[in-house]
Amino acid sequence: MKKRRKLSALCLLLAVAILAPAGAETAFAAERPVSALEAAVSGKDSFASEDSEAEIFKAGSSPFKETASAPTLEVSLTDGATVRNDRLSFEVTARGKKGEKIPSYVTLNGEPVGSLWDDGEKTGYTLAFSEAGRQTVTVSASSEGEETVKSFTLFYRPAKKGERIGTATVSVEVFSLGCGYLIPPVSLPILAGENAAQALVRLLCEEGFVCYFGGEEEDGFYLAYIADGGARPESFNGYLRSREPKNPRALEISPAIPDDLTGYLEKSGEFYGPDDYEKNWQGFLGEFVFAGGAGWMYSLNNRFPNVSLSDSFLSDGDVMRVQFTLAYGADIGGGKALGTGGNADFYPVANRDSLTKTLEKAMSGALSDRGGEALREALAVAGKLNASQEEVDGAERALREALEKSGETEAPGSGETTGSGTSGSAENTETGPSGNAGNTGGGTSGDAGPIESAGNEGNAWQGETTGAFPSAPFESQTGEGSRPAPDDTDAPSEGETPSEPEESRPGAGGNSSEPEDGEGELPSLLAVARGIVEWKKRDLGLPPDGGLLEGSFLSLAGSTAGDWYPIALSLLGLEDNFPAYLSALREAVEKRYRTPGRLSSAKATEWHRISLAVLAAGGDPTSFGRDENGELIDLIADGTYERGRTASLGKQGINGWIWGLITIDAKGYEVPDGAFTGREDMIKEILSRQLPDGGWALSGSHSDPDLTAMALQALAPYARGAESRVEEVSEETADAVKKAVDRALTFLSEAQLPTGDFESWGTRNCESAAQGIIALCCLGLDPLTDSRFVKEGKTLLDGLLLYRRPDGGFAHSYEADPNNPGAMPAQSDSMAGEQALLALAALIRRGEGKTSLYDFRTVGIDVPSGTIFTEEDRRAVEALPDRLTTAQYGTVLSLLEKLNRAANFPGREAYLARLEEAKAALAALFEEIEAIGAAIERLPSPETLTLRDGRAVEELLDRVGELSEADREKIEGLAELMEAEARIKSLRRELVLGVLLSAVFLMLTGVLVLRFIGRRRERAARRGSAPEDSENGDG
Amino acid sequence: MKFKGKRGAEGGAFRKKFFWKKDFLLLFGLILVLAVLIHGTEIQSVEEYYLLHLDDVTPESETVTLSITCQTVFEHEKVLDPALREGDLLPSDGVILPPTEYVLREGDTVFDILSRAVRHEKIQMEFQGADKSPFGSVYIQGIHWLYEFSCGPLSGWMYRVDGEFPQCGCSRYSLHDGQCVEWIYTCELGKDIGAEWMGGQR
Repeated sequence: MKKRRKLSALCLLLAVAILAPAGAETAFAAERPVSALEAAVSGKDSFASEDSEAEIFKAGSSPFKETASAPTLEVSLTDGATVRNDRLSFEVTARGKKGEKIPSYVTLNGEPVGSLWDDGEKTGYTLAFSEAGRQTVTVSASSEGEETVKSFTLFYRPAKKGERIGTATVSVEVFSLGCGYLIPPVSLPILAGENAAQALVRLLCEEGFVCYFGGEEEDGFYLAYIADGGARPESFNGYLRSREPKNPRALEISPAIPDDLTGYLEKSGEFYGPDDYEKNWQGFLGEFVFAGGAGWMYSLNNRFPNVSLSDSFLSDGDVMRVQFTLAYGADIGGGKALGTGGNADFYPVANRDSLTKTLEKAMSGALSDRGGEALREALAVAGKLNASQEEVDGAERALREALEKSGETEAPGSGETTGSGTSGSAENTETGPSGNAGNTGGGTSGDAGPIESAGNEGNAWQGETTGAFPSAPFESQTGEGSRPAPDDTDAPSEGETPSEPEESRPGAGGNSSEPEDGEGELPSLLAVARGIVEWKKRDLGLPPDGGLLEGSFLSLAGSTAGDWYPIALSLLGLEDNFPAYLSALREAVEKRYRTPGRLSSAKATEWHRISLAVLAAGGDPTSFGRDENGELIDLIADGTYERGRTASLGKQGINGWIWGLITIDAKGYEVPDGAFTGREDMIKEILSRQLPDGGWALSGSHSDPDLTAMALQALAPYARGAESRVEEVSEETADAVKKAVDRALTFLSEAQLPTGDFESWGTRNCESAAQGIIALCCLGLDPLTDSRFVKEGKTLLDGLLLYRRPDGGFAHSYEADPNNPGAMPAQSDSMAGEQALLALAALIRRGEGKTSLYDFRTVGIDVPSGTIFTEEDRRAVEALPDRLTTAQYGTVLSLLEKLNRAANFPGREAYLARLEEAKAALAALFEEIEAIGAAIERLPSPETLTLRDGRAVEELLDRVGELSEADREKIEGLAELMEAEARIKSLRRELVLGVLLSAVFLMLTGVLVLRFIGRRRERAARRGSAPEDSENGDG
Repeated sequence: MKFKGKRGAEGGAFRKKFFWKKDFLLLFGLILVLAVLIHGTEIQSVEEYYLLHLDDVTPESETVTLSITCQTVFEHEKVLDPALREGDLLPSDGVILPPTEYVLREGDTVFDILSRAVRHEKIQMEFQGADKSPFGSVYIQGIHWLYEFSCGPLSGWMYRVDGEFPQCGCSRYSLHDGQCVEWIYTCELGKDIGAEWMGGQR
């Protein structure tokens, strides 16, 4: 099977929309400026006059004279139509005087609309409506000074998401295998907000099948296989499975490819034999089954759209037919449909849309016995690919008549079907064979070039945005799709292509510093960076196949241990779960703002680090969450220019000024007039702290390479030539910065050790080398070649890589401290790792010509617009226990984040509710743990505990008992509570015992006293009476 | 009668003797109960006893001595956080905890001892957990409302074990019997308290 997964034009055809970049669109925009529209000269369009009653004929030329020579426009829009979905896709076929394809230009309410896909035949557009009501769409094309403009008026009536906005007739056909319908035409409700891919997946699920797809339902959907409802594998040939149907149905087909079709296939040389399905594919029908050109395509109102299903939106009355092709569409009338070269149709294929609709009616309602024959006949004709239009129409008519006789078809229904009157398909009925009406014949082969290159661009783009999926299948898929040579399958498998520029790092004799690299070849910088991320994941016990910003990492959001990693990941351009981190960060910031004094009143750098992390994760630090008064939190103002109102930026020393400046420059934030501290103030503060030896230090008169490097990073934007902000400060400040930077560089150069690294605080370490690299990159210098920073052939990078460990992480230092038995020299360390990661990011960004580190002006996080809440995710939600533990915080947060971005699906509300509930419960849990800790602290110490505290201790114990084992560990002072419990128990026992013993004591005393009294009486009686009367005493 | 009388006299003697014995027993019991009551009725299981007397210093127990001081702030009162300057929040002699012996439990780190001590003595303390700190060790932010940077940009808490300033986080330093741990507040990054390796001196 593997050999067949070679280049396939079909792959291109079908994946076209996945890959569709805006490359073509920008080209057209340039060719055809907006203003030209106003000066448009229009011509009569002979092709699509039915489409548009509202053509505009502008004065200036007589359109009728030059009908033949004016550009023609064919637009698949219906004037006056009401649209319920907020998006609408349509196609434009624009031809010049000689019938050649020319660029077209579309506006919606005066705003230009970019093309979604463009090929040798037609151009696809998607309109996105924002406001209800009348929408004016103009389509224009010009050729040799002549212009044709068409205008359409649409009415957009918005619907609530998930609302039913009509029905479409949908079928899944396997005519090419002689198997008739897999899913006979059904009437499928169209839900607002749902695209055709989602509708199809829904239908397949209802019908008991699953599909395997590339891309996402929301974006770039590619239907790779339709499979047995019970198909187990989560992925197949790199494609993900859709959700499991409730009532799985087997894919029972017995392929019998029509003979004439077999002939064509054999000629194509990409035919794998008539028993390929039985042998190799049982239960899976899709690409490469039987033939290299096999796969699923779809027609919408008898056109084969050149966009992905996820970019098509169904409207009421549409007919969507999903069809299995063996020859890139040439067997089903879609050979030229996508304009991507390939074959011409083998034979004319009749329009079956009316027949499809009538079949739907016939099969949904009870057709009388007499109609049975007509139905069988209609099904047979429908399934016969090369049936003529007359045959098809005849079968349709016969079936409709049979239906009418059965009294099943009401009048309007039949009226609708007679003239094949649904808007979109109208024009095609005349031209007979399918939607590829105006074939120009040319460009078949010539198309391949541009398409492939477009596909290439698309690959990179797709790779960037499909973070939710394992990347390997996409790489292999797109790799195949984009390589012209079929044998070249393994070429793109490295997945490291973006790092190529860096792989050629200067030798600089660093081989010895590579502990695990036997061949002496250094791994690329990106590979080193990935190694750190992998190490960190292992360190935190995160699953290796996921990202770093998941699970337990999310609880680090807002802490020193957490924030630097996402900052580095983002600057490296690595994908990860940034939305989840952003959400965790927001929670953390809001919590701190609501707890007085918690966002450290002393450390401004907390704000700076968090601000950078927010930027890195794609958020806006100037309005990030809300404080206790419900006001938007502005981390930038609070942390930089207005910081001085509460405490000096420099309260914690030079660090506060340095990072304040870096933060405010991170996105070029404006410092408002009247702000407490301005940019220039910060620069001056930093400059004023420069030591006589040229560097900076936290204290003392000897500079520290670490801090000197950081100061350089802050000053860099005011010193270097390009991207300079030097105009933003006064001339003297700029001069001072320049001088300061030169002196600091001299100091750093002198401080560099022969091994390439630095010593800071008396210890040779990883972080100083990392900061040095970042500083040089920020200054626009090349750390690998700048002669000031190459010592005995060793560069700063060599110095940094000294600390790389075999586990992929970086060590802080190798120097062991005898006084320091617990410190771990030569072991991977989180801080060393994050700073190394930042240094690598700086080098890679420099290599790629991107903005310097911490300059986020061009750093954007591509948050995929549509995300799928996969079966696995759903199961994860369902698996959440009723009693949550804090360990689930990260999971809940990332699931919730994902669900919030995911498109609607049945049952979404329930999942959302469950996750919201879980999040609230976890927030309460964290509070409870803190509250218990505080309550324990309020208890008297065990020695002074009294019985009166018993109830309080018991209550606390009950509360602790409610928590999970792991969460109990999180309670501060739990041991004290246990002590208190023992003390109380002991006190109680003491009390009971005391009472008991006291009672015994009293009893004994009583008895003793009574006896004493008794004896005294006896004695007295004896004394009083005669001795002989002794018996009296007995009484 | 005689017989009876005789018997009666004999019986009386017997009775007398018996009675005294009974009284003696009663009295003995009484004294016993009294003794128990006076001595206390605390009866504990072995585990309980262990739990409650874990930190009792006995001649056999391994111990370390811990002290917490902040004399340095008085030399830098100008930069001391105003909130701390006012009132008598800080002890006038700078001694937050005089040298005190604490029982060393197995595997105790400097942080374990400190955290037990401050809880026991009800001294305020705030720290950053090892998981949230990039050093992979607990970082002590403040003790007795005296925080890092409360007294200038170079101020914070440091610790010394037997006169040396270890270069590792306090939750990574394991202690052994007889060691002396001092938590000292510095206003000059250790220079004012004799930490030579800090302060960028080379």
